[in-house]
Amino acid sequence: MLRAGPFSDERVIRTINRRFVPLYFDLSPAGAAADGLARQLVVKVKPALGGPAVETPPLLVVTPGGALLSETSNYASEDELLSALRAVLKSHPEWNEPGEEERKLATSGTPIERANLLFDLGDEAAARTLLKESSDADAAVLLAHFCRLARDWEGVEQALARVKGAVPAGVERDAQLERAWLAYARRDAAGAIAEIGKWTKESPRYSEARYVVGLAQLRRDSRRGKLEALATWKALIDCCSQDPWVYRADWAYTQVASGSDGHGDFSTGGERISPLGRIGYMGRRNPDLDLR
Amino acid sequence: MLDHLLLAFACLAPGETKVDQTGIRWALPFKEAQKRSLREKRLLLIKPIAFGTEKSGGW
Repeated sequence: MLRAGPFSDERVIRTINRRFVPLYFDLSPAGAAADGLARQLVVKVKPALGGPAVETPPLLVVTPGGALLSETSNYASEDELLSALRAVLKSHPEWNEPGEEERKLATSGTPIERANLLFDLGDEAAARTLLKESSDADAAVLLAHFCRLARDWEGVEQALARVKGAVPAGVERDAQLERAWLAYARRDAAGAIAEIGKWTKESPRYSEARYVVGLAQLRRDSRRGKLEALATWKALIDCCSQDPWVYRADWAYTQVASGSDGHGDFSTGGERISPLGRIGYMGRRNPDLDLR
Repeated sequence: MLDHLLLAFACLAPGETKVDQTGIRWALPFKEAQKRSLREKRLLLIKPIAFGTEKSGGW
């Protein structure tokens, strides 16, 4: 299930939104997202998907003219999918040209805009370098964010040190959230919860904050902590069904509630444990559960 | 950070099936996606689903 997995990974989301036109559809003509034209094209390039019973379909990269350039397993990890997406862009540069808006951004955008663009395009080192050159607090917080996505906790700490005591209101919540992730990674569950535990629903990035609170509660390593974490994620899923963090929360919830030890892929075997009602393959071990 | 990835709410006319909006900016239906990919000179990324989709946008 890619949505509880690679499709909930920020690096993957950014790459897809920046460089691809993504489409999903139901192979069954009776499905809510049925799409006859999409089915026609896909069956032409992958005839096996035209049968009455098919294996879980892969993710396909296709030209608008219908040429299949790449396919990635439904069970790929975030890193595998990201590599596959970047590889197809590299080997087909004609589909990787910057648009007009991007060209403008690259030359006259703010450091934040240019860093975001570089990050989306996979040049994470250049994005970080650009942010390090800026003395602005928002650049430092974004730098912490990029370092966190790369699991570079020293980098997160150094970036956040630059904004200590002087965080402008506009990025205060972002800085708190990065500090919470850092505390969680360093096994300071109480510290993580103290940073963001009392945010209200109106807070920017509330859903991500609740997700992290759940992770920190779980890390208390007690039965109570586990129940608190499950309740936190369930409440998040119930309140924010169309939020990028909801699949991440469902992924964590299902794994913890099923008692999966997380070694290898897991499946609920038909039980409806997932608050979102997902069934069958539930994804690999959620990497956030082991974050350090 | 992720907030700039959030999308405008989008609906499909037939049967009012909602488009998933949990992060990726999906382009539906195929005809629109194909037009956009030609216009923007971008590759189509297609996820066929074999185990059901819901009107709520779930799959």
